[in-house]
Amino acid sequence: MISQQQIINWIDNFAAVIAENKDYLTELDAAIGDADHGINMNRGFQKVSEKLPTVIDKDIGTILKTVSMTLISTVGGASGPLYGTFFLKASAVAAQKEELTLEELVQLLQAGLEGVIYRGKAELEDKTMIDALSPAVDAFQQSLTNNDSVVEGLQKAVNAAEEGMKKTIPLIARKGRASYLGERSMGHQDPGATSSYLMLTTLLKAVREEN
Amino acid sequence: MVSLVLVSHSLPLAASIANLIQHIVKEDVNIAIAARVDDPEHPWGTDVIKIQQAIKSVYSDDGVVVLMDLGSAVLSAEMAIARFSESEDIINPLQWQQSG
Ligand SMILES: Nc1ncnc2c1ncn2[C@@H]1O[C@H](COP(=O)(O)OP(=O)(O)OP(=O)(O)O)[C@@H](O)[C@H]1O
Ligand SMILES: [Mg+2]
Repeated sequence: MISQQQIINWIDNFAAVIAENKDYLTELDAAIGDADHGINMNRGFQKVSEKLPTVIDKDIGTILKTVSMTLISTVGGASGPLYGTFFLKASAVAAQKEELTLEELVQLLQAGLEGVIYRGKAELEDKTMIDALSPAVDAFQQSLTNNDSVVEGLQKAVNAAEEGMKKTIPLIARKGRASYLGERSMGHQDPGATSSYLMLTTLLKAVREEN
Repeated sequence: MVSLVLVSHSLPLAASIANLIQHIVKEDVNIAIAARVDDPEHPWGTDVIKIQQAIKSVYSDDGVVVLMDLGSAVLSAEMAIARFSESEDIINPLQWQQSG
């Protein structure tokens, strides 16, 4: 079981990790975008940190919906509507829930991923956050049939996300601002795939720590 | 008459375009601008909620044309149109197009 407290810890921790990696994400975006991914994400997640205390005793659905609304109204870049939709779709799976089973956590990430695909219309190898999220959700789902524990499953998901993130380096971007660069986008890691990888590592960390 | 919403990363750009349109068109056109994000240090971006409010402010049954510049402006505008349609209980024109 994944507790409401672990979800709070995940979001809280992700906000801190985004702040720590703000310059790194912005540097990645400087190479193939407009040098603002870290700034955008940090602006959104600082606001999320401020809002989190107001939903500290609410169900997981309400918490994730609050994250979503905050991101939609503050992030500013493409990552705003995309992460906003991720957390909106995820929140629907967790509506009124105080804890989640492994299956429900898999469904939650799956719904989030589908939301990002619906909103951004990106496919695998378009050099976007989908390249980290999609293999991660696949690996997590696979671990359900293997009867893995949540931590084992999420570890596999994180490994798959990391691999997917690194695989964006040689790709030519077909979505987002980086696609304006065409072949010049080759040789650089996608910033959105990197922040998605960080999101999953912080989820693993939150679930690993007992609560 | 159809209204306009200008979605831009740059407020001066949107304001100038609005100005030019008002000069060219003889009638009064309703134009709303949704430009920049509320961050004085880094205003460069587009804001879904601002766009949604801009659409609402000029909406009539004749419709609204939403024009945008680049990058996140497209995604933000699409999401704003979806949210506005849902809140007003009208058909999302983008979905209507997709389904034929
Ligand atoms: N259509 C899309 N589908 C999925 N992910 C996308 C899409 N477009 C962009 N992205 C992701 O968003 C990241 C860039 O986000 P960022 O916050 O920098 O927005 P931006 O495109 O620079 O916005 P802006 O145009 O306002 O500057 C990319 O690295 C990519 O992973
Ligand atoms: Mg950018």
